[in-house]
Amino acid sequence: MVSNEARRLRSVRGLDRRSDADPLDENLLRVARGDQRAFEQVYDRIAGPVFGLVRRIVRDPAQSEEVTQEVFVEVWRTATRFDPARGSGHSWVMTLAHRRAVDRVRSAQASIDRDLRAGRRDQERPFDVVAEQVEARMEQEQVRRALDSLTDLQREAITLAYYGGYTYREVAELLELPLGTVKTRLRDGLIRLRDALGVTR
Amino acid sequence: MTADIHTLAAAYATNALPPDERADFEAHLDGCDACSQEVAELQETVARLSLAVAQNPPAELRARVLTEVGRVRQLPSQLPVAPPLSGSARPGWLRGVMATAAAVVVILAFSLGFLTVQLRDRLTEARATEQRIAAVLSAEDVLTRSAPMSGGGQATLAVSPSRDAAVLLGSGIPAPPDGRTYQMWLTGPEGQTSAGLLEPDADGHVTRIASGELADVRQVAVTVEPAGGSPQPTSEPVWVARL
Repeated sequence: MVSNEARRLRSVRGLDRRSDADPLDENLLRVARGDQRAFEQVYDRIAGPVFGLVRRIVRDPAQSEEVTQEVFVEVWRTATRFDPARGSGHSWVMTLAHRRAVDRVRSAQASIDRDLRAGRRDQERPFDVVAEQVEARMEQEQVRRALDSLTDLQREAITLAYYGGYTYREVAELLELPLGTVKTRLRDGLIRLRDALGVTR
Repeated sequence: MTADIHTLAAAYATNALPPDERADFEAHLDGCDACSQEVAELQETVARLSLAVAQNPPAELRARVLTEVGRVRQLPSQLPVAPPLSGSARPGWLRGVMATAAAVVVILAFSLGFLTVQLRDRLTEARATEQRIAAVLSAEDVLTRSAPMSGGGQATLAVSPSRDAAVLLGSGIPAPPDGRTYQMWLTGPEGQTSAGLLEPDADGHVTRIASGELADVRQVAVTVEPAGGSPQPTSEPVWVARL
């Protein structure tokens, strides 16, 4: 039951070209009403992207499973907070997932100094994990092309911030850059990605 | 510093803000459309990035998640902003109804076009509910349907097309059998949609508000379902109102 008005408002769509974009939103709205079967459909659709992202950030397999479970429990618990007028269900879930993964690595007391010594900075590459799902492989291609459109410096800042879970201040320390430069690179890089991936309003 | 805050949208969208800055930025977002817009777009963008690293989790995780979810309560829905009542005196029967309504209240907002405000304590919640119920009941075009519920109790549905809202008020409703719950349904051209679960309080009172997208609703019904509700009704209704 999505009103026409909501369709006009819900116009930030990263996945407009995909015919399966809407069912996730519809299912989340049902989950908000306590529909457990709809929740299972949400899980089946998006567990792969969630687990993959969490794994990429948290790395440890056991903790990745824990965090993934936390993410889906939070999806269930806070489903009433999902507002289709503000963005897609996909983005809502992945934002939740990313936040949880980042909180986990930050609470693991891994200091920047330790990371620097371990050369973690050099380990950040978005495609170390080979995607198992066909859709993910197709998506990889488009994302790879989009990432190619960035400058090396923009790509580096985004990789550290998004996949590394670092705050922008930590990124500035790691790269020995002024805060303003990091903010600019993040912003410019993401805007380029946004345009390359066709995320429109 | 204030001028700089807009430049943090990208950092916020990648969860790259330390906690104190995140709180400040979220406060800023409430009043800044441009940043809200940018954050929404950039969150979609990085969500797309994540698709490229998708990996199937172990099969056992699904069962663990579903088990835990069965034990976790959901947050209640956010309430729409209530249209303020005019200062005129309320009829006596309305006061009685509102006193009933303030007892145990569950709110369900359907329409996605409503502006929602999160209310912090039960008193404020009850007051807003009161206003919303009163708005429906005092509307010039209010229609009511009243009927006994099989199994006990009486329920009245009041619908106001101009307010695009409906209120279901029940009294004397017995607790459902063990392991079962009452569920409310709206029937429209696409079939039946759940309007949520109904839980009578100790005095047998039930109140439910449904708002938005009611123009196509032909019928409102209540069935008894397994605890937790069902995606579609699985039994004959214990109460029906046709509109």
